[in-house]
Amino acid sequence: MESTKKNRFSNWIFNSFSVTAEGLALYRIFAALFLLLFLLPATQIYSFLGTLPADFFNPPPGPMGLFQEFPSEMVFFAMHYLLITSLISLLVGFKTKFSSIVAGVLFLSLKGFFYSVGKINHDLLIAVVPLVMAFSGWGKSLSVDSLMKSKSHTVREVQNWPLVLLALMLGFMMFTAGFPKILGGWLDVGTQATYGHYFKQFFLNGRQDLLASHALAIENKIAWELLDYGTVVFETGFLLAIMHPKSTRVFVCIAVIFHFSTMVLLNIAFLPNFLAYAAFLNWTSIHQKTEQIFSSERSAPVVSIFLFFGVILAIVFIANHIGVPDLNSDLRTSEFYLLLTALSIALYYLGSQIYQSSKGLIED
Amino acid sequence: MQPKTIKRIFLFFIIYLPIQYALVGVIGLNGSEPWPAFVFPGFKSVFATEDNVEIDEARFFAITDNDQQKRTEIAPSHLFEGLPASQLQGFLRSNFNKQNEFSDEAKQWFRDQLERLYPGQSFSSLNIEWGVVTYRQEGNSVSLINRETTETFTISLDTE
Repeated sequence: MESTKKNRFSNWIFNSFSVTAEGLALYRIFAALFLLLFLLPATQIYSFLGTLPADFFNPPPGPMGLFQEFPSEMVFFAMHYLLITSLISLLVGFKTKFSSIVAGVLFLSLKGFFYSVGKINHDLLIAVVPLVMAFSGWGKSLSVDSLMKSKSHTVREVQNWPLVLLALMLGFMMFTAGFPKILGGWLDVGTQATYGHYFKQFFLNGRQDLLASHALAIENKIAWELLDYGTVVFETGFLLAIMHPKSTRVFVCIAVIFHFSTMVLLNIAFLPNFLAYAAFLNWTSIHQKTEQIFSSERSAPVVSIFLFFGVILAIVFIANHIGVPDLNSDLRTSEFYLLLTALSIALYYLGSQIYQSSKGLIED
Repeated sequence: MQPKTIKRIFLFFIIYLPIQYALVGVIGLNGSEPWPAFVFPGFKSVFATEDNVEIDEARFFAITDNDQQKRTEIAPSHLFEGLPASQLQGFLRSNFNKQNEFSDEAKQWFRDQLERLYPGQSFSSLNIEWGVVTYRQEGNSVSLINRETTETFTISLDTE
């Protein structure tokens, strides 16, 4: 009995996700570009924080307590450029493990200073992804590191357990979003919490873009209550879903749909989470398929990733010029199109799972 | 890394994650949430009652430095321009939820911001009014039912 439990535990850690050096490398390139293009801190905040008196420095409990005040604007910019350097290093796979850790620590430090104004934005996954994936060996292929080592010394062994660890952290964090809602009364049928948050965002924070104004027409309390229950079930259920790779991926897809709905109703995108969600795509298969499509051209998968972001940037550029969608809140055009792309991928995955399951049932 | 070490890392996190969550809850009762912490926002509050929506609000008023003591309302987003909108409410709660004594440097900073917004005018103090605002939605419009001030704080802008 004891050994069965131990085996299950080992099996979960070591056999949940199957990865290859090429697949992980492709995710590394994707993650580095995603961070560089869309998740770098906005530099405007540096001049604001750099001039704030020490009276407003309220570090959250933790390592930020070692500081007495905000650093100067110059220090912020130095950290910013160091972060860009580490991400470029991660992108090309130079000293990959080291640059992953440096990028993670720099994100933690910069964000730590931002949150010393008294509000935490819960985007820890930006730092967690490079820190955890540093141990996966995501620099063992398609990288400067792999080119620098002679063929005889190249060890291409990669680790899949960091993905399971990432799933554990993600599942637990989702649980921490759902559990307080139960305590706070979200399941009370007499009040509609989602409606209250929607109302606050719409009328007070001016988040009235996309489909937000259409939701005003929803007067049916049962509809709002279903959203309350759906949110709680999804967020707390994530912790159970991480036990199996398939259910993890299904819940990641539901998370994408959830965030997309939140974006169209509340105009909040929560983009940093998508960096972690993308880790659970089947990168090995993406690598193989892109190679097949482009007649076994070795660079094809990497070119495809660059092409993907190039297309997104071109769409965002054109969309910004013609004003589609017309955004007046703090939601960015890039966030809209990235979430729309993620939604298509999530729906495709869920659709293919449903198709495969139904095919299996018919054959049985 | 040895499989045994990896298993220990997992065991560590399986134990650490709930413990740090409990700590986040305990620390969060009296202060800010720790950073870094493996938590997502709970959005625990239910603003909606049976018919209305109640929301906390902070209003800032600058008081002119003359006999008339004229009050000018300033949107916090203008006073603290440069701070991301997502952090504004938390910033206000952390820094202006009690009668704080601000340093001369901070008072000068406030005066600089007021000079930026109202060039040439002189202000003696800032009033911060915390309150609860009750709204009711009727179709596509919203009406303010009630505004109740719960606490008022004053920041003198006089330096020593």
